[in-house]
Amino acid sequence: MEPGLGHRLEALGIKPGQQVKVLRRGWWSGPIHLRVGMTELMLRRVDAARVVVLAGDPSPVNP
Amino acid sequence: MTHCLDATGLVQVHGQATVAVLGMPNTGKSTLFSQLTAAHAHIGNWPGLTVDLMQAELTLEGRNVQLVDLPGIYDLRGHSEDEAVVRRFLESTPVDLVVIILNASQIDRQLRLALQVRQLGLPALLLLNMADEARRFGVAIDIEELERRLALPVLLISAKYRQGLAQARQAINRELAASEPGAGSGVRDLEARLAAADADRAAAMETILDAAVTFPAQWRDALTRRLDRWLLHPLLGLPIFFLVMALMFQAIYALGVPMQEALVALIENLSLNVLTPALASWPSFARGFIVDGVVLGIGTVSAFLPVIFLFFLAMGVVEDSGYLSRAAFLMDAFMERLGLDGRSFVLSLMGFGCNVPAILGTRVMRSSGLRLLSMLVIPFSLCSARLNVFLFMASVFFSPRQGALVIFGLYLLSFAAAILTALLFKGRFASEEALVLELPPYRLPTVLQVLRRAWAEVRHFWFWARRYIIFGVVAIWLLNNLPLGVAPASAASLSGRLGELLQPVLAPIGINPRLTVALVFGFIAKEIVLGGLAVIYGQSAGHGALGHALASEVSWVQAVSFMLFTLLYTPCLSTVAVIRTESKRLGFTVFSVLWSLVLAWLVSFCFYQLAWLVGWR
Repeated sequence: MEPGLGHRLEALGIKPGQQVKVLRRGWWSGPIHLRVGMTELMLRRVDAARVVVLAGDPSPVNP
Repeated sequence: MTHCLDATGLVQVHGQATVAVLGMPNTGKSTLFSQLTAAHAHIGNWPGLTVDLMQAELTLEGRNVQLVDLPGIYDLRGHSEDEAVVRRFLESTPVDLVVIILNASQIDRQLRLALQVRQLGLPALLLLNMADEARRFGVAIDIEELERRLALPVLLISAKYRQGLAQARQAINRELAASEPGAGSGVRDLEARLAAADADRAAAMETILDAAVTFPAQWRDALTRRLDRWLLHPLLGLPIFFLVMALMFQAIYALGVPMQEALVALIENLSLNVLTPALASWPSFARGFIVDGVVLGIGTVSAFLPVIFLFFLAMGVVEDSGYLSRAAFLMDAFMERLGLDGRSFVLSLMGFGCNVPAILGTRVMRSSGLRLLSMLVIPFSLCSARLNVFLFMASVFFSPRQGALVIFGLYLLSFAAAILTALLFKGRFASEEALVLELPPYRLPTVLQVLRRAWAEVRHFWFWARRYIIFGVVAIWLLNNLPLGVAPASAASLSGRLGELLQPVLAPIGINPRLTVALVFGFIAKEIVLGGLAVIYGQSAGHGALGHALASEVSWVQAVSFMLFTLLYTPCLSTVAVIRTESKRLGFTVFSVLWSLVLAWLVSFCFYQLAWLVGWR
């Protein structure tokens, strides 16, 4: 992972063990729209591909 | 007050406390800063940092305070330029108080920054902004518990609605009263200390949040959810976006162009009716220098002010409402393939009105590679000043129907040049930063906030660009009027000789010496190309006389070649000036000018030579 990305994602709330909800995907393999805790983000798929996510409970995310 | 220079070269004022405002992007930090400082803030170079920071000297309840607005950052350990700037600032400056500003409703992640400051042992005060939003979203914060656990004073405020500002001022004053100004020193081993405390911080953050903050069981912002369903719709999102942009443009230029014309007319009037008679006894060379050189220069700069003001007003609304980041989301897939991102697209679009504010707007980008590439691309947007020249040329050389096609073709070429430039240079100006953008909830911008910001941008532009533009205008006036006694812009003048001298290069693209001089005028601003042609051909630009004179000497193929060159080469001196001041790199500015000249020449050459081969004359 590019050195800055891990720090940046953590500062935006994406940290190990954090629940993440995908709200939508952009057209033509555009960015994805995420909700993490109380924050909504867009993240390019290239960058998102570097984050390991486990499938979780599909119920609404509670921060 | 006495000034002295300490070992690091910092100017320290005795008895004055230094207060740094630190916060994440999108927390209303700049709003708070401008509310605290009223009109006293100025942009200045911070000694030893080589970046411009907003600063203000103010008296806070009888105490002299220097307030510094640090760039918005996510993380004191981050790798962006801004994050490095903040680290260098904290390492080199003895700060008496750090005012940390966080978005209250996002305290679940933003508390991290406050904890980092805490771990560095800096005297600090925590302001939780956007209290109104936190309440709306159901985030409840136990301030006393938070204060106790952080061992920091904490205040809940709403900078946008001016709530809690008086208390914030008092709290800053109280904290400063407890310490001796200038007693501290810069932070040592900043990075190592933060890295060592990483694990502790994560654990501490969880404990504090559990104890002091209650989050809603369900996400409550139904408005944002509903708006996003339409505005980010896979099929409708882009058409809606283009419609919004088109309307915004219409509004900016419907209002701005008459204002611009009125301002130009006013200055012309003053120079004709007041200045010219006043200078009547001066030698004609000196009079010409003042009236057509200096005053024209000031006029050229101030003509941009209304459009810049309106542009930043509109940008302020788009940005503060949260739509700018949505536009970035929508266009990112396409722009990513060009090495740019969604925001560069929005700015290029703005460039179709005027390139200058569009380039100023690249400040929203953090990665310098991305910013430079955007600045390289934006000048190819066919701005309204160039459109003016094309409308005139098309009316002289073509029937209305053909003319419309020619102009449409020029718009297409403008896009093609931008895309080509991005593709060619995306490797050189690679964006080293992953694009992770916050999509904030939709918000209603306040009138005062957008007005204040637009005003600040206009002041900034006036301050930085004027000297370059006035210098350029004066230089070109001298070219047209030296040696002494020549008819302005005639073959005997320096620019006329330059026109002759450039024939070996410009003849192959069909540009004769007279048109070359017009291109020299166009380097200042495309607004004065027609006026320049009028001087060169000795005909007034109105009444069709200039058109006849032009058409009798220039073929339509030459005219199209001239238009192609005008579209692609340096838009104007103002654009060059803002590229210089915004990029802070002379080499890049020269490169940008040269590339546009090379591309303009190549395109005109291909067109003119092909037309020649086909037999069009």
